[in-house]
Amino acid sequence: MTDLLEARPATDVARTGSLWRIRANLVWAGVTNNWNLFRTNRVGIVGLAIILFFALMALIHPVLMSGVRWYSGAALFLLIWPVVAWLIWPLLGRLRHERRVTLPLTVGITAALLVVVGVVLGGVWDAATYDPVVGNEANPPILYRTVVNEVTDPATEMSTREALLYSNPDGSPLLVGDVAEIREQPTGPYGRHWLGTDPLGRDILSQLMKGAQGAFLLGMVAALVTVLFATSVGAVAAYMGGWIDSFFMRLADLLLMLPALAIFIVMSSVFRFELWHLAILIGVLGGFGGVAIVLKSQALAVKVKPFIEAARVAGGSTLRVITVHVIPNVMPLSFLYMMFTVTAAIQTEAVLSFLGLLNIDMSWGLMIELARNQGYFLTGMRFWWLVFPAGLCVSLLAAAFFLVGRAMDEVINPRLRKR
Amino acid sequence: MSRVSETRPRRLHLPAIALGIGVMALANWWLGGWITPAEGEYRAGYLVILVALLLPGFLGALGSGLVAGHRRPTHGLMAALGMFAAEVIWGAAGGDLAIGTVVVRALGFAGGAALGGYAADRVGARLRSGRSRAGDGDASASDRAPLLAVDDLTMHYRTSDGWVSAVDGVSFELHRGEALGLVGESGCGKTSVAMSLLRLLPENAEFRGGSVRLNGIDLLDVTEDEMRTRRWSDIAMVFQGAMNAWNPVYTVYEQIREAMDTHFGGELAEEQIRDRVGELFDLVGLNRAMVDRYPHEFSGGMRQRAVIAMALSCDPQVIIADEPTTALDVIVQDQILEELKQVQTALGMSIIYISHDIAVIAEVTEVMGVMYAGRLVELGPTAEVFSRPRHPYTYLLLQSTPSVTGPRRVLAPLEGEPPNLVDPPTGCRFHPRCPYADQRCREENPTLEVIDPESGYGVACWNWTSVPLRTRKGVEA
Amino acid sequence: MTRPLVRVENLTKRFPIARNAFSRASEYVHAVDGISFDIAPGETLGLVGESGCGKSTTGKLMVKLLEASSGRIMLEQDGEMVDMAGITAKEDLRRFRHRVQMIFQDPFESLNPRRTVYDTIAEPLTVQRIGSVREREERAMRLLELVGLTPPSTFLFRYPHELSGGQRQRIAIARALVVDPAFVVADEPTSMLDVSIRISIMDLMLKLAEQLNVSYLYITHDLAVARYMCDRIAVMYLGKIVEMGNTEELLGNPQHPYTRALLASVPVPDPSHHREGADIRGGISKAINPPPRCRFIDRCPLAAEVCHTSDHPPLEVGNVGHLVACYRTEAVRL
Repeated sequence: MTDLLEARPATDVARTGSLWRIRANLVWAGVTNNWNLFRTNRVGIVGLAIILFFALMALIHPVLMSGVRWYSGAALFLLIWPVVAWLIWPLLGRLRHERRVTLPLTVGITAALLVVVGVVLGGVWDAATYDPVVGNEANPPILYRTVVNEVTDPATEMSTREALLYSNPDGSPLLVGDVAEIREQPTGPYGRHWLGTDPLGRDILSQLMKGAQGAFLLGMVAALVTVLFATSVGAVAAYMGGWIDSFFMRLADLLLMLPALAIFIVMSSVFRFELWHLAILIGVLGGFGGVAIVLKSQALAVKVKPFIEAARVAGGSTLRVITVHVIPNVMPLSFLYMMFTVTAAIQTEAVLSFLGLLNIDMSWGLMIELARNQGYFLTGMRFWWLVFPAGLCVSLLAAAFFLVGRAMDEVINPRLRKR
Repeated sequence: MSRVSETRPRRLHLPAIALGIGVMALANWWLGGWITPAEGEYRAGYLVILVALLLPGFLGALGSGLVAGHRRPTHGLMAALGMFAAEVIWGAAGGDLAIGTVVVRALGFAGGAALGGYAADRVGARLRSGRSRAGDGDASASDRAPLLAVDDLTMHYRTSDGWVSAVDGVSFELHRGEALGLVGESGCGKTSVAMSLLRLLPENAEFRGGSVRLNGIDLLDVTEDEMRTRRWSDIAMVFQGAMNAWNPVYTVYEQIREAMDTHFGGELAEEQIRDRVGELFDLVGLNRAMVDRYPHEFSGGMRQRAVIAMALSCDPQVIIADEPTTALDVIVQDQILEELKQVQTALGMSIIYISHDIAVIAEVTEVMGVMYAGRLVELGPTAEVFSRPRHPYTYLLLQSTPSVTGPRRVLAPLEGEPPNLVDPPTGCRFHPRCPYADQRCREENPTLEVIDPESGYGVACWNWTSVPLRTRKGVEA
Repeated sequence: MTRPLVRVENLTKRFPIARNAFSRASEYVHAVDGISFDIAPGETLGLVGESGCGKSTTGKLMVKLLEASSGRIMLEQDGEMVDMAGITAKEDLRRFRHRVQMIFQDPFESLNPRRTVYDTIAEPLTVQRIGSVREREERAMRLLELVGLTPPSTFLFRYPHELSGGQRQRIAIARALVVDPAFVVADEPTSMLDVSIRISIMDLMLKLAEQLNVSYLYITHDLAVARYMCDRIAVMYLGKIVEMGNTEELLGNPQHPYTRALLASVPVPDPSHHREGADIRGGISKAINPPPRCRFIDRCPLAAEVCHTSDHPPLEVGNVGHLVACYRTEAVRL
């Protein structure tokens, strides 16, 4: 009876090659397949484009600030080469069909492109002026405003009351009819500062770029921590059941009940609250809290599938069943929640920075906070560059991750897909 | 297949949006002066704007809707969206309008456009049904005319892989008081046929031709509103899986009453409805006292009986029973089938049974059709189909059906699997699995050919004469 | 009689019904209640009954997906009968998994959608650390060939969603047979498949049983399928076996009123055949703390005084040469 199983030489085994190579191909095929599905979703593509735009902003900032040009080119190349190559590869598609552009050539073109970018852009911003935290525009444009009794145009005239704040170059007080030379510090956009400067004379664009770095760092760490905890907690609680399940679910209820913002506020008053503290805290709250409950219910649906029983009949241990059969089947959903966690983290960070509760050099929330405590709120659109770009960045990036999450939801969930 | 690749104007959202923007631009240019209220007369001004803009919005959407021949009011809404966007952009770019003015103007357009879209929908539907009625004059002449005549029904589904040819040229007739069976494997299109008769198809389905005439009226041409009333009163359905047919939060009585209210337009008194539901429960073998129970208090078989009662509640002429007993145990299945047969004879009802189980069809129908890969391959009196199947598929299917009577194991079972309907085989769709296939089967599609005019026996096969007389060749244990 | 491969004695499974989390359950569902049967090497025993009769629970007990409340499951091992109900040692369990495997009902759910065909088939080998990767791969290929998925290399690294229902069930069969088991529990393996595919899967299982000398416990609700597949049939009702015997004999001369009703209810694919129809009403209930008398009594058309006053009738050899559990077999024959 066993002869039947043993006798035949397996002729095709040799041709299938190494198992790992096949697996890599399968994974790649899966990624391509999902990407093709994702690509048809316009909302997702818009979200992805926004994320890439901000990623580019975050990555190019050190290049702009660097003094060593060739070095910045190389660094940029190493950092974002895959992304850029991936973007220009389809553009080269027509040429590729004629087999003139090979992969090495693409690498070469991309590298050259990036080095050029690095050399051109490297160090165009000198640190003293453009540093997002300690920089200062030493020579802001000078505004000439005439002191009048009745102000009709605030850009060229000032009231006698406001004139008390300034004086003539010789030190004498300003009188009606005098022209004041004012080195205006929150400057609107002009050639040297494309998005203007803040009340302390720092470049807004540079601050936005620096803020993007923080937002990404925070979002990614928070999301990773969430997914790591939520997936394992959800799968273990669902599969093991009993007191383990009860424990983790009660813990989740507890964390859901906690007013997160209040806790952050208390914590920041107790000790120095750094960005990565916040990231891990958001991750833990989500990972043991709401997201864990969602993933547990998904894991419960997986747990009752016959293939879990089949794995047990095959002799799989509990650990193996959880890691090999349960977790991979809840993974797509956890990626989805990863995206939503990023959104939540970015928003929370903005709120905390705005309240001044985060020990951080620069962030989008902090920019708005500065505008507020320097008294530039409620001035209409006159100082729009102080508030508007930062607010837009927070909303855009948070929305972008949310959109990508929604699009991924459709890729994962075939029922949501329009047939 | 050329049929699969042909395209039709579908939802034309982009043109609608473009039209909306165009109308907006025109209106701004033409009406620009006087629809902007002067300072201080805002309240009256807004009203003027609102009314003034309803009209262009309405006309714009109506026009675009009629031109595109759409079926849903989404069209008008799309036009409205376009207008709204254009208005906001214009207001923001021009900068000389207060934000309130911009919003009111946009609302005016949007409201008008939504109304226009709806009106276009109604007018379009009226035009279509008028057209179809004009061609309907000579139908329903004699008593021998069938109650339901399905002619060359063709329906496709749009999927991410392409068009799925789910129903391809299916024709059959159902007479008064007759039980007709449709049998086939999953994915052969039998449920799609049922859903086509009721026009309960998902979004991605599209009719490519044919007609479904009930008493001479083509159900594919009537408006959606009309269809809604016909759905329970003319054609009712007993769904597959009685568990999901009931809403767990209402009692069975409440759910049947709702169906009857919709149909009779609330002209029946509460007592009348209650009597009727009680009678129906008697008819299907349920205790009258059960009417006020919730669905979860019913067992599977009882739930299916209640579904049948609900299907009967509005006196339909035709009942479609889609796998009515598939989820049930064999003893309960037997009881339900018996019940359906009794109801049918008692009320002189016509029933279409749809099942994958050829044994069930054998027991309850007089006429049966065999479907394969979206096509009807054999149609005839049930007894004859079983005693002398002409199509190789029917023949092999019967050979492959295990039974508690007759020989234990059969020879020559059906090999292979049904084809993928995104890219069906050329010619006869059964040819890759057919032992009698030749070159012609691979190239030409056989149509249902009537081989016995008396009984109306039809078969769609080039080589039906080579199919052996049915002898259940088998091996005894 | 040859030595049995599997012997089940008094197998019982009770599920507690907990009223709430704090009180101890006082009521039990007697899902399987003291059933006994033998299966010879290479033999197929069909377990037939309506849903809720305990046939799937029996199957799960046999592969130790559930632990029995009481009773013994003996498995032949190196010439001895070993009780498998109580084993807990890792090594014993490993040997058990080598000898006993299972095929599940739903081929769309019994394969992990994220694992390739190779992963699925080789799973028992992987977890039991049998052979090198290359050897597992070769064995998976041979199994694929054996279940008729040729050429095997084109199937080895596909995902379940790329396969049809019939192909998936073939994979499930290959997974069950990869460790070369002696006994396989098949829980309705063809009920989710289309008619035209059903026969080919059943033929495949019959062929493999012969070639590899595998015994099946074939669980099904369909008497026609059981007749096609099984050497012997056991009819279950509410946790009890009510009748057991050779297929043709049992179907040709059913003794228990339940078997007769079941048989009379099966639709026959032949319009000229006239069935009498079953004479029992009502549906199957749940055996919650059942009284000790006959389980079928509420639906039985022949119930007499003796059925109400006595215990559940024992499964005995009647006059017709197969086992039946009924006091009224005399009345049946009339």
